[in-house]
Amino acid sequence: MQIEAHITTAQPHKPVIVYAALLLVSFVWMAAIFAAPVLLADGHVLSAMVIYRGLAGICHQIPDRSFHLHGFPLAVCSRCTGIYVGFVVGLMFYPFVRSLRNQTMPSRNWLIAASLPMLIDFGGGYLGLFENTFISRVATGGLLGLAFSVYILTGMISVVQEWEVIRASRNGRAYLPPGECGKI
Amino acid sequence: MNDLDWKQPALIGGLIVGILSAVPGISAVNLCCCAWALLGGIVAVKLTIGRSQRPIKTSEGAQIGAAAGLIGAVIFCIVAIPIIVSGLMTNSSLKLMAWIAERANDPKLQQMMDEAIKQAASQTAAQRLVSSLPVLFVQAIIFCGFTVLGGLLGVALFEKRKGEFPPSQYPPNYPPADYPPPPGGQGGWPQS
Repeated sequence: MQIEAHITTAQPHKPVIVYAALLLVSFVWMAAIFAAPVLLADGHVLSAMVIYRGLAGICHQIPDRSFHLHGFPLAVCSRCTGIYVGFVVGLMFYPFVRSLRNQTMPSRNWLIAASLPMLIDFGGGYLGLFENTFISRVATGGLLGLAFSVYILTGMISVVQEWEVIRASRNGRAYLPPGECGKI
Repeated sequence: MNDLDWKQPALIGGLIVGILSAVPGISAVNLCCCAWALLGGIVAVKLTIGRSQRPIKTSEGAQIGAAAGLIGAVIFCIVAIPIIVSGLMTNSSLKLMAWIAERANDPKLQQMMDEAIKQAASQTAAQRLVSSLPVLFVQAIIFCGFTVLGGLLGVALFEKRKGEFPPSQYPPNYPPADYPPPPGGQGGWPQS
């Protein structure tokens, strides 16, 4: 009797695809934020207002608390800009610091620690204990964005790998994680 | 995913996203990177973790976040439409447009902005609704995306169990010691 083994191995390029896709989406997101004032300066009022109004649901967009380009505010405030820039920078440096195949989620304490400066900066300003500045908002937001990039990218790579396992089990195949196929 | 009690948590997460993002004033908390949408996803996953006997996978966290986001997007639209029709939501956009018109150096741009403000201010309820629908749609998609991210963060924050299995279907002392053996001497009691 011949026993046929159906084995699905993890595709090593999958994490790279997930990484590239997330980086692309982040760049498009950043481009939209920076495009709004550029479009407005070029006289494309309708396109600019679509971006401004589209992002109005996720940011207060107060001009006095936003960076300006060509004399017009960016589509989100300075704190949000810091978060998104931090996220993109974190993604760009991620492969140099951590393997894309590493699916171990870092300790949640790092995420809490990264969010504390922003909470203090926001809380202090809200309660009138001190006046937060552009630099403090960008720096604390950027730190949180950096942390977000590590957790979200790790999470997304895990999601894709888990779906691969589920798909393999539905097809009646065994799943081998990366690096295990040579051991058979 | 089928064995998880995720529907009620997703509904609660969706309510957080939808209502809190739509109501003027409370929605200002969105000043921090779509905070309500992230919170909705995190809460939905946290509640599901509390109800589950096994560890929640990251992919399940993302799915629960997506479900909360979809529910939240629907609730957001339902709550936002009366607010848009009443004209409350356009105020913030008008403020931004007025600010831009004031500071624009280009007279042509200033004129265009002034005209846009006049048009927006004189819109009827139906016109306001129609012109806001594409924006609502874009915002609903953005909320869904952020709740998925909230779901991922929720697993990272609250799922401490690693590879633990649910308790056995049978109690440890099953079958009881004083229980008679099965007749015929064949077979046996299921082992845990």
